[in-house]
Amino acid sequence: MNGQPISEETVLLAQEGDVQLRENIIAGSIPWVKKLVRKHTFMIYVENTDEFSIALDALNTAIDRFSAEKQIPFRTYASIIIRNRLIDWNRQRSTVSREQSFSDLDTGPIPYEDRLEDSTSGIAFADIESEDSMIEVEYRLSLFGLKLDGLVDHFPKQRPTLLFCVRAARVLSDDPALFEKTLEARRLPVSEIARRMGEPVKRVDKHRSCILLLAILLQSDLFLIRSYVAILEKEAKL
Amino acid sequence: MNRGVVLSVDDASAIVFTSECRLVKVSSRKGVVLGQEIIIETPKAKPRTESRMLRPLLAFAAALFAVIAGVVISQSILTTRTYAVLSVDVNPSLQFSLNKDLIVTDVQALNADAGRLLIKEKYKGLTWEEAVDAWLICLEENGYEEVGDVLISAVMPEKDALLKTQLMLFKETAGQGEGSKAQIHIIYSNDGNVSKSAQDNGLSVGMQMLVNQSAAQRGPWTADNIKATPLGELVRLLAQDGQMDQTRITVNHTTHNGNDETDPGDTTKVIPSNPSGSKETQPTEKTIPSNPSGSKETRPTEETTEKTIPSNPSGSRQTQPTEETTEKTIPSNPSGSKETKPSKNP
Repeated sequence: MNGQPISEETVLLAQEGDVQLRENIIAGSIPWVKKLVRKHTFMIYVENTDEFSIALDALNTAIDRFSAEKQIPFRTYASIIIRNRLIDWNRQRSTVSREQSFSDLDTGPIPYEDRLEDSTSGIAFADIESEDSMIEVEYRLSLFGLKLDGLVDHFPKQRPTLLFCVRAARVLSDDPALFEKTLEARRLPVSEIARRMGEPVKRVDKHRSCILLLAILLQSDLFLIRSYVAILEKEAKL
Repeated sequence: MNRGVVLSVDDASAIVFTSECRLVKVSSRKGVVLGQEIIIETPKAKPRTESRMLRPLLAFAAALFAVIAGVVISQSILTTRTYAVLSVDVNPSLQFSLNKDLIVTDVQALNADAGRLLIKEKYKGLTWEEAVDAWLICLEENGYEEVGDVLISAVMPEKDALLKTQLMLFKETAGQGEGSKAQIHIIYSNDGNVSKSAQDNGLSVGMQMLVNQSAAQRGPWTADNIKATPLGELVRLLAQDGQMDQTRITVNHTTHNGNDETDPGDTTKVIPSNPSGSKETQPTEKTIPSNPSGSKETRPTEETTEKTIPSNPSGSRQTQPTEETTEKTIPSNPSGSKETKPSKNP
């Protein structure tokens, strides 16, 4: 199984209670998991590290949470889950004592409700968006060779440009067929969007990465983000 | 306050989609997880703009403060800097340091008696005239009821005009009070070395001037023995021939060698007894008074002479030739006695 894609059916079977299959998936993924941990920790020998244990635990969680409906390959899905857990571990360790071991953190992460009560946390009183939805957004962006890090600098700063991108994204997201076609083609239909908007193709093409992100967000289950966009549209009377 | 949903988070930063539909990168903070709505501290930019505005203002305020402080300090230095030194020799003797406004900034007792009576704070901040009056009153109150000769001496810059004028006015008006028998003698010098010599010799500037004059006249007084000499006798030294006539002193002094007490040049001058305070000191030989009174040489008429019998050295009381006036004023005759009376009614 090492290096080979894990089929959706295998994962779903393991999810349904096939312990042997689950162990096989995990055992077969160990070299791949080690590779992810090495990439994250910059260490060669990771078998006895806390990070490796966390990564295996995250893989087990990924098997439990995997959904075929998202159309995300299991390895991609699991790799994002593992990465997020390792980042969480690093951040948690930096705020706690560095000498504290993984076994000391058996109590698990601080509950969200407790964090909300901490006035210094800066956490707003709102529902947390699901991690799976975030993973889906990240995966869909990756289909176009885009990463959130790279989009930050190219996101419109001026309000008129932002409103233009929102309008274009709405054109794309409101048409599921066009959106699916875009995901399949892994290419933004610039001409079609420009035609529907009555705007120059060049302008749409210039902001295609922003339009793609907004469209993916509008097509996701991220309720809060969709509400932000809706409020903006309402304010601008789009 | 702005809100946003965390789209991505790593060790150092988090990417947040804000409620204004902007994608921003913020520093990661404790407890933040993926998909969470957080509060973004956007006002960071505000203090920056404030500091941009504030910085030049602060710099300007600092510069302004420095300028004001400089002016205040320099003004303070200028006002407290000693401009002139004025001594009052009555035995007890005092010496006042005056600033440019002729306000007393410091007082120094020159002998033990003065030290016993002196309360410095009483004199600081007063004009020199007020300080001299206060000192004379203090002496009277402390048993020095018969204050006779008072020698007021000053060392001032050569270009000074105000203090000289005030000294002359003081000379005119002093000793005129009812019952006052003080005889005011005023001398001054423009030579700053006088005060230095006085300090070295432990003398007042007035006494130092007398020592200098004594030396010029090959007199017997030195810095060592002048303190033991009565002031009245010393004033005769001023008059050179033992006369106490201020005009004659001035005339003789300038006639003598055209010099002063401090420097054989022209630094020390005796203020004339002429009330006008005019330039009688300059035309020396021509104005030597022929009459014993020695005053009013500029008014040669019979009538004027009668009226201006210089029973008063200031000459300001010609119209009141009373006994009282005569007693109060410095005798115009060389003996210093009251033989001035017969001259009133020839």
